[in-house]
Amino acid sequence: MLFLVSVTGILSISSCKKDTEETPVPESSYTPTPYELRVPTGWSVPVIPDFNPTTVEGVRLGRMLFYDNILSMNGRSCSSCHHPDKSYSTPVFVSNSGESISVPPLINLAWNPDFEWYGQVPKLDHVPLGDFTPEFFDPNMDTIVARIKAHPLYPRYYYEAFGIKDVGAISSDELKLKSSYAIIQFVRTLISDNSKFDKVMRHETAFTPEEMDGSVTFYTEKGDCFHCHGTPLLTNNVITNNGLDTVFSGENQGYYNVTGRPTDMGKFSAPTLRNIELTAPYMHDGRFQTLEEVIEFYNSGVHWSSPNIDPIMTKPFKEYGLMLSDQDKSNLIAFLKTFTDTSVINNPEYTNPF
Amino acid sequence: MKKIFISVISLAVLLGGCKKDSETEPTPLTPNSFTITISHSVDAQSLYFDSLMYTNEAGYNYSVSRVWYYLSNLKLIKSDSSEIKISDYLFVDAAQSSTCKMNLSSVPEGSYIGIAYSIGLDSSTNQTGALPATVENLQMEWPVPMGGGYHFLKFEGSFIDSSLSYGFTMHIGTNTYLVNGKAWRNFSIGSGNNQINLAMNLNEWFRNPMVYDFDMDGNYSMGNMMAMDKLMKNGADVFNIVP
Repeated sequence: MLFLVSVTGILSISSCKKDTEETPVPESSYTPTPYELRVPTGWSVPVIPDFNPTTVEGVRLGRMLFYDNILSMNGRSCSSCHHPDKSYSTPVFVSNSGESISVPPLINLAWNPDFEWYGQVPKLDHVPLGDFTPEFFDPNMDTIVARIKAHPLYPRYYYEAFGIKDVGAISSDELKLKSSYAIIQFVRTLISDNSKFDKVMRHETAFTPEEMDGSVTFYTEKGDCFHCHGTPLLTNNVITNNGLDTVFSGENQGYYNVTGRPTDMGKFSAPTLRNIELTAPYMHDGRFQTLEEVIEFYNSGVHWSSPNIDPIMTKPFKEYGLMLSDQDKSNLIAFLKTFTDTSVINNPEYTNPF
Repeated sequence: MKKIFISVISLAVLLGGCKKDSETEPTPLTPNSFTITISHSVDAQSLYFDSLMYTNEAGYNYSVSRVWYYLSNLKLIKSDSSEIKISDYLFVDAAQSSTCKMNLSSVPEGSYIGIAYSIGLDSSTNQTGALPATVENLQMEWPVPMGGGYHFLKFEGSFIDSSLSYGFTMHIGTNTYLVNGKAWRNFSIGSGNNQINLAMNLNEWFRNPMVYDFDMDGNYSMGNMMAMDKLMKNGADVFNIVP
């Protein structure tokens, strides 16, 4: 706490100094520069809505807001729960209602069609709006506007990204929206495509025999991981019930909470397995602490009688599980660890700019 | 100016046609728009997802959770049995109406007695990476360790057997199991807009020529050559043409 106060003090001092040196909002015209999102070979076209095109200026603003606690009253920033070294996730968030929620990683989201564990937010650009609540940022918009206006850089950055000449002259809802848009423009640039798995696909290196064996388990009926975790993104973006539970309540009702359809009870979005080594614990509620526990669940713990369970999960002759040997399991985990991409963590374009 | 341009093109086409007529077989190829809509049902019932309201030939009550497939090699069949290819491939997700429509612009005028189709992709296309990297194509990939290419069909749901609910996943892939079928009805294509509906009856996957029984044949066709063979053969008449 003391540390935070000290930092704020320094920022205040430096802001006073800078204020006198530069004009916050220049008279130049508002002409944001389009940001060309890199599309790795073999990936589909990313989903970028017309209402929030990615621009160099928007990404710059979004990156600052992502790491800055200027939008909150409690010292939090996006990066408080989305740590780069954990693939922009955090182990577990405990909600006000006391339920544990595994925080999804923020990588390759430009290719996702739905967001959060049960697809409750249809547009990525609106996801950060959920942080402007007492549970997350606990914002006081008057204070936030005053902070931004007094900042040496933000007034110019908001102008150059969105043409906003005075953040105090727009509604607080508009300010939240544009801040969300900027944050998401930055998040869309967080692309993970340089894991060992990717390098093998590009013929730059080769799997070890153990990893190769694990990949066969992954991509054949033996382990049958690929039906939900296929494509270069390692998710097919299905919202489905993988047989975790038979009885549901609260957050565990999953997609049912969005649609109200009984047939959607217990369905969750299949997450990407990219950087899965870094994002423990696992499942939407973080119930499994290790990859070993996850594999053992699929090997022997699936609840066949779960209502609306994905048909893929109920194979005949698999009543007693996948029957993977200990070697199969450890090889599969060796393969899963080839999805780890440290370059997305250490990329200087993504790190804390402060 | 635009009208003049179109007239010139038309004239050129006509001249081209006349010239060819005198040299080879008659080919009165006047481009006409042809819209094919695709619908899905289970016998006389409309398709509603995740609803245990259907019964197949073997007597199982079942629901449908997914119907994804490639419809390819559409050919118009003339009365002399000759065929005119009119399309390459279309990815169809029965739950997304936007995928259940094909607009063709250069379809030859004439009278036809049916449409030939494939469900799946021919061998030149059925190779990993051969199709554009769209979301749906990536989702349909058939893993390289199992031969590569793409799933031809993903037909999934649940069924009741002795009061217990089980899933079924009818997946078809690999070149051997390309479904080739025909749908019969007299129709003609004239100038202007033309439209027909190809209606898939999902119950046809489970009958004719062979009854598909989840219990006997397997409720999971992947890695099961006998099951995929049966589905391939049954798939030859899953479509009807509805004017």
